[in-house]
Amino acid sequence: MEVSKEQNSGYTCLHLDGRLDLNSSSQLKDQIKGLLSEGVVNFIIDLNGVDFINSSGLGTLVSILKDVRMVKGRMVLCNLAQYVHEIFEITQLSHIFDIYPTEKQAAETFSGSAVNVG
Amino acid sequence: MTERISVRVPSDIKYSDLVHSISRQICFNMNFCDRDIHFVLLSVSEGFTNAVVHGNCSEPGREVVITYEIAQGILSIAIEDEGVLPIEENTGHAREMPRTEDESGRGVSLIRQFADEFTLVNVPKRGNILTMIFSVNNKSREAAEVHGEA
Repeated sequence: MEVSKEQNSGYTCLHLDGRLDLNSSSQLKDQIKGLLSEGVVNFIIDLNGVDFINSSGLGTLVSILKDVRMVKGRMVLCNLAQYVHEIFEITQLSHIFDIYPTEKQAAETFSGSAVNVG
Repeated sequence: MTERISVRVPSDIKYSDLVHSISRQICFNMNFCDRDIHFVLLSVSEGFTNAVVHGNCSEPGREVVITYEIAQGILSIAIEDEGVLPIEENTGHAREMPRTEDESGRGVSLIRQFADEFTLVNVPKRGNILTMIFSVNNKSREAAEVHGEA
Protein backbone atom coordinates (compact mmCIF):
# COMPACT_ATOMS: atom_id res chain seq x y z
CA MET A 1 0.00 0.00 0.00
CA GLU A 2 1.21 3.50 -0.83
CA VAL A 3 0.75 6.32 1.69
CA SER A 4 1.31 9.92 0.66
CA LYS A 5 1.19 12.81 3.09
CA GLU A 6 -0.19 16.28 2.45
CA GLN A 7 0.27 18.95 5.11
CA ASN A 8 -2.49 21.54 5.28
CA SER A 9 -3.47 24.29 7.65
CA GLY A 10 -5.25 22.63 10.55
CA TYR A 11 -4.89 19.02 9.42
CA THR A 12 -2.68 16.49 7.69
CA CYS A 13 -4.18 14.41 4.92
CA LEU A 14 -2.92 10.89 4.30
CA HIS A 15 -3.85 9.50 0.90
CA LEU A 16 -3.91 5.70 0.93
CA ASP A 17 -3.58 3.64 -2.20
CA GLY A 18 -3.89 -0.15 -2.32
CA ARG A 19 -5.21 -2.84 -0.01
CA LEU A 20 -5.56 -2.16 3.70
CA ASP A 21 -5.01 -5.53 5.38
CA LEU A 22 -2.64 -7.18 7.85
CA ASN A 23 0.21 -6.88 5.35
CA SER A 24 -0.07 -3.13 5.05
CA SER A 25 -1.69 -1.93 8.26
CA SER A 26 1.50 -1.73 10.35
CA GLN A 27 2.96 0.66 7.76
CA LEU A 28 0.03 3.05 8.24
CA LYS A 29 0.08 2.73 12.01
CA ASP A 30 3.83 3.44 12.17
CA GLN A 31 3.41 6.51 9.98
CA ILE A 32 0.63 7.91 12.16
CA LYS A 33 2.60 7.19 15.35
CA GLY A 34 5.53 9.08 13.88
CA LEU A 35 3.34 12.06 13.09
CA LEU A 36 1.72 12.00 16.53
CA SER A 37 5.17 12.08 18.11
CA GLU A 38 5.91 15.20 16.04
CA GLY A 39 2.80 16.89 17.43
CA VAL A 40 0.51 16.34 14.44
CA VAL A 41 -2.92 15.53 15.88
CA ASN A 42 -5.53 16.24 13.21
CA PHE A 43 -5.90 13.84 10.31
CA ILE A 44 -7.94 13.21 7.21
CA ILE A 45 -7.50 9.65 5.97
CA ASP A 46 -8.34 9.66 2.27
CA LEU A 47 -9.40 6.14 1.29
CA ASN A 48 -10.02 7.00 -2.35
CA GLY A 49 -7.33 4.59 -3.51
CA VAL A 50 -8.30 1.77 -1.13
CA ASP A 51 -10.22 -0.84 -3.07
CA PHE A 52 -10.07 -3.49 -0.35
CA ILE A 53 -10.14 -3.49 3.42
CA ASN A 54 -10.45 -6.44 5.79
CA SER A 55 -10.91 -6.76 9.54
CA SER A 56 -7.19 -6.21 10.15
CA GLY A 57 -7.40 -2.90 8.29
CA LEU A 58 -10.53 -1.93 10.21
CA GLY A 59 -8.83 -2.82 13.49
CA THR A 60 -5.86 -0.67 12.57
CA LEU A 61 -8.10 2.33 11.87
CA VAL A 62 -9.86 1.81 15.22
CA SER A 63 -6.49 1.64 16.96
CA ILE A 64 -5.31 4.83 15.25
CA LEU A 65 -8.56 6.59 16.14
CA LYS A 66 -7.99 5.73 19.82
CA ASP A 67 -4.39 7.00 19.64
CA VAL A 68 -5.51 10.26 18.04
CA ARG A 69 -8.26 10.78 20.60
CA MET A 70 -5.77 10.15 23.41
CA VAL A 71 -3.90 13.29 22.37
CA LYS A 72 -7.16 15.24 21.91
CA GLY A 73 -6.81 15.17 18.16
CA ARG A 74 -9.31 14.38 15.42
CA MET A 75 -9.29 11.86 12.62
CA VAL A 76 -11.88 11.67 9.87
CA LEU A 77 -12.24 9.44 6.84
CA CYS A 78 -13.24 10.41 3.32
CA ASN A 79 -13.70 9.04 -0.20
CA LEU A 80 -14.72 5.53 0.78
CA ALA A 81 -15.43 3.20 -2.12
CA GLN A 82 -18.92 1.73 -2.13
CA TYR A 83 -17.95 -1.73 -0.87
CA VAL A 84 -15.55 -0.32 1.70
CA HIS A 85 -18.31 1.93 3.02
CA GLU A 86 -20.60 -1.08 3.19
CA ILE A 87 -18.10 -2.87 5.45
CA PHE A 88 -18.12 0.13 7.78
CA GLU A 89 -21.92 -0.05 7.90
CA ILE A 90 -22.04 -3.80 8.54
CA THR A 91 -19.50 -3.60 11.35
CA GLN A 92 -21.20 -0.44 12.67
CA LEU A 93 -17.86 1.34 12.60
CA SER A 94 -19.64 4.10 10.71
CA HIS A 95 -21.01 5.01 14.16
CA ILE A 96 -17.62 5.84 15.65
CA PHE A 97 -15.84 7.30 12.61
CA ASP A 98 -16.63 10.65 11.05
CA ILE A 99 -16.97 9.78 7.36
CA TYR A 100 -17.28 12.33 4.55
CA PRO A 101 -17.91 11.81 0.85
CA THR A 102 -15.06 14.09 -0.25
CA GLU A 103 -11.81 15.46 1.09
CA LYS A 104 -13.17 18.99 0.68
CA GLN A 105 -16.12 18.25 2.95
CA ALA A 106 -13.84 16.59 5.46
CA ALA A 107 -11.45 19.56 5.38
CA GLU A 108 -14.25 22.01 6.09
CA THR A 109 -14.83 20.33 9.45
CA PHE A 110 -11.33 21.33 10.50
CA SER A 111 -11.81 25.02 9.91
CA GLY A 112 -11.24 26.68 13.27
CA SER A 113 -9.39 23.65 14.65
CA ALA A 114 -6.03 24.01 16.34
CA VAL A 115 -3.31 23.97 13.73
CA ASN A 116 -1.04 20.92 13.71
CA VAL A 117 2.21 21.58 15.50
CA GLY A 118 4.35 19.33 13.33
CA MET B 1 -18.90 -31.84 -13.08
CA THR B 2 -16.96 -30.39 -10.19
CA GLU B 3 -13.58 -28.77 -10.77
CA ARG B 4 -11.15 -28.73 -7.90
CA ILE B 5 -8.18 -26.40 -7.50
CA SER B 6 -5.90 -26.72 -4.51
CA VAL B 7 -3.21 -24.30 -3.41
CA ARG B 8 -0.70 -25.05 -0.64
CA VAL B 9 1.27 -22.09 0.70
CA PRO B 10 3.64 -21.55 3.62
CA SER B 11 1.88 -20.17 6.67
CA ASP B 12 2.96 -16.58 6.13
CA ILE B 13 0.71 -13.56 5.72
CA LYS B 14 2.89 -12.35 2.83
CA TYR B 15 1.16 -15.01 0.69
CA SER B 16 -2.20 -13.27 1.11
CA ASP B 17 -1.57 -11.35 -2.14
CA LEU B 18 -1.12 -14.62 -4.04
CA VAL B 19 -4.24 -16.14 -2.49
CA HIS B 20 -6.12 -12.92 -3.27
CA SER B 21 -5.10 -13.08 -6.96
CA ILE B 22 -6.03 -16.74 -7.38
CA SER B 23 -9.38 -16.24 -5.66
CA ARG B 24 -10.14 -13.20 -7.80
CA GLN B 25 -9.39 -15.08 -11.01
CA ILE B 26 -11.61 -18.00 -10.02
CA CYS B 27 -14.50 -15.67 -9.14
CA PHE B 28 -14.00 -13.79 -12.41
CA ASN B 29 -14.07 -17.02 -14.40
CA MET B 30 -17.32 -18.00 -12.66
CA ASN B 31 -18.95 -14.69 -13.62
CA PHE B 32 -19.53 -13.46 -10.10
CA CYS B 33 -20.55 -9.79 -10.16
CA ASP B 34 -18.11 -7.17 -8.80
CA ARG B 35 -19.87 -7.02 -5.45
CA ASP B 36 -19.82 -10.81 -5.06
CA ILE B 37 -16.14 -10.90 -5.94
CA HIS B 38 -15.33 -8.23 -3.38
CA PHE B 39 -17.00 -10.09 -0.54
CA VAL B 40 -15.70 -13.52 -1.55
CA LEU B 41 -12.20 -12.00 -1.51
CA LEU B 42 -12.89 -10.42 1.87
CA SER B 43 -14.05 -13.78 3.27
CA VAL B 44 -10.98 -15.57 1.89
CA SER B 45 -8.75 -12.86 3.32
CA GLU B 46 -10.33 -13.27 6.77
CA GLY B 47 -10.06 -17.07 6.57
CA PHE B 48 -6.45 -17.03 5.44
CA THR B 49 -5.43 -14.49 8.10
CA ASN B 50 -7.13 -16.55 10.81
CA ALA B 51 -5.42 -19.72 9.57
CA VAL B 52 -1.96 -18.13 9.65
CA VAL B 53 -2.25 -16.04 12.80
CA HIS B 54 -4.66 -17.99 15.01
CA GLY B 55 -4.76 -21.53 13.58
CA ASN B 56 -1.05 -21.97 12.91
CA CYS B 57 -0.13 -19.36 15.57
CA SER B 58 2.31 -17.75 13.09
CA GLU B 59 4.65 -20.73 13.55
CA PRO B 60 7.11 -21.08 10.65
CA GLY B 61 7.17 -24.43 8.89
CA ARG B 62 3.42 -24.84 8.93
CA GLU B 63 1.27 -24.57 5.83
CA VAL B 64 -2.18 -23.46 4.75
CA VAL B 65 -4.13 -25.30 2.06
CA ILE B 66 -6.86 -23.51 0.15
CA THR B 67 -9.13 -25.73 -1.92
CA TYR B 68 -11.64 -24.33 -4.38
CA GLU B 69 -14.46 -26.55 -5.66
CA ILE B 70 -16.43 -25.15 -8.56
CA ALA B 71 -19.71 -26.62 -9.70
CA GLN B 72 -22.79 -25.14 -11.42
CA GLY B 73 -22.39 -21.56 -10.18
CA ILE B 74 -21.45 -22.71 -6.67
CA LEU B 75 -18.03 -21.96 -5.25
CA SER B 76 -16.91 -23.88 -2.18
CA ILE B 77 -13.70 -22.70 -0.56
CA ALA B 78 -11.98 -24.67 2.20
CA ILE B 79 -9.08 -23.15 4.14
CA GLU B 80 -7.17 -25.66 6.20
CA ASP B 81 -4.43 -24.99 8.73
CA GLU B 82 -2.38 -27.20 11.04
CA GLY B 83 -3.67 -25.74 14.29
CA VAL B 84 -4.03 -28.00 17.29
CA LEU B 85 -6.58 -25.81 19.06
CA PRO B 86 -9.83 -24.70 17.44
CA ILE B 87 -9.51 -21.16 16.05
CA GLU B 88 -12.40 -19.81 18.08
CA GLU B 89 -10.83 -21.18 21.28
CA ASN B 90 -7.52 -19.59 20.33
CA THR B 91 -9.02 -16.20 19.74
CA GLY B 92 -11.93 -16.24 22.13
CA HIS B 93 -13.94 -14.77 19.29
CA ALA B 94 -17.60 -14.42 19.94
CA ARG B 95 -19.92 -15.33 17.13
CA GLU B 96 -21.45 -11.89 17.16
CA MET B 97 -19.82 -8.75 15.77
CA PRO B 98 -17.54 -7.28 18.47
CA ARG B 99 -18.07 -3.88 20.05
CA THR B 100 -17.23 -1.01 17.74
CA GLU B 101 -14.25 0.08 19.82
CA ASP B 102 -12.65 -3.39 19.68
CA GLU B 103 -9.60 -3.65 17.45
CA SER B 104 -10.07 -7.31 16.50
CA GLY B 105 -12.58 -10.12 16.36
CA ARG B 106 -14.53 -9.17 13.23
CA GLY B 107 -13.13 -11.77 10.82
CA VAL B 108 -15.43 -14.71 11.49
CA SER B 109 -18.46 -12.42 11.81
CA LEU B 110 -17.73 -10.94 8.39
CA ILE B 111 -17.41 -14.37 6.78
CA ARG B 112 -20.72 -15.33 8.36
CA GLN B 113 -22.23 -12.22 6.84
CA PHE B 114 -21.20 -12.96 3.27
CA ALA B 115 -21.00 -16.73 2.82
CA ASP B 116 -24.18 -18.61 1.98
CA GLU B 117 -22.93 -21.43 4.17
CA PHE B 118 -20.10 -21.48 6.66
CA THR B 119 -18.53 -24.12 8.87
CA LEU B 120 -15.42 -24.07 11.04
CA VAL B 121 -14.31 -27.36 12.55
CA ASN B 122 -11.17 -28.60 14.25
CA VAL B 123 -10.13 -32.08 13.19
CA PRO B 124 -7.79 -33.73 15.73
CA LYS B 125 -4.26 -34.36 14.37
CA ARG B 126 -5.10 -32.36 11.26
CA GLY B 127 -6.14 -28.78 12.02
CA ASN B 128 -8.90 -26.25 11.50
CA ILE B 129 -10.98 -26.46 8.35
CA LEU B 130 -12.98 -23.41 7.41
CA THR B 131 -15.47 -24.06 4.62
CA MET B 132 -17.41 -21.29 2.88
CA ILE B 133 -19.92 -21.67 0.09
CA PHE B 134 -20.85 -18.86 -2.25
CA SER B 135 -23.37 -19.02 -5.04
CA VAL B 136 -23.44 -16.66 -8.00
CA ASN B 137 -26.22 -14.10 -7.65
CA ASN B 138 -27.68 -15.15 -4.37
CA LYS B 139 -26.87 -13.36 -1.15
CA SER B 140 -25.19 -10.39 -2.74
CA ARG B 141 -27.99 -9.76 -5.14
CA GLU B 142 -30.39 -9.53 -2.20
CA ALA B 143 -28.05 -7.17 -0.37
CA ALA B 144 -27.49 -5.12 -3.51
CA GLU B 145 -31.23 -4.65 -3.79
CA VAL B 146 -31.32 -3.38 -0.20
CA HIS B 147 -28.62 -0.87 -1.14
CA GLY B 148 -30.50 0.15 -4.28
CA GLU B 149 -27.91 -1.18 -6.73
CA ALA B 150 -29.92 -3.84 -8.51
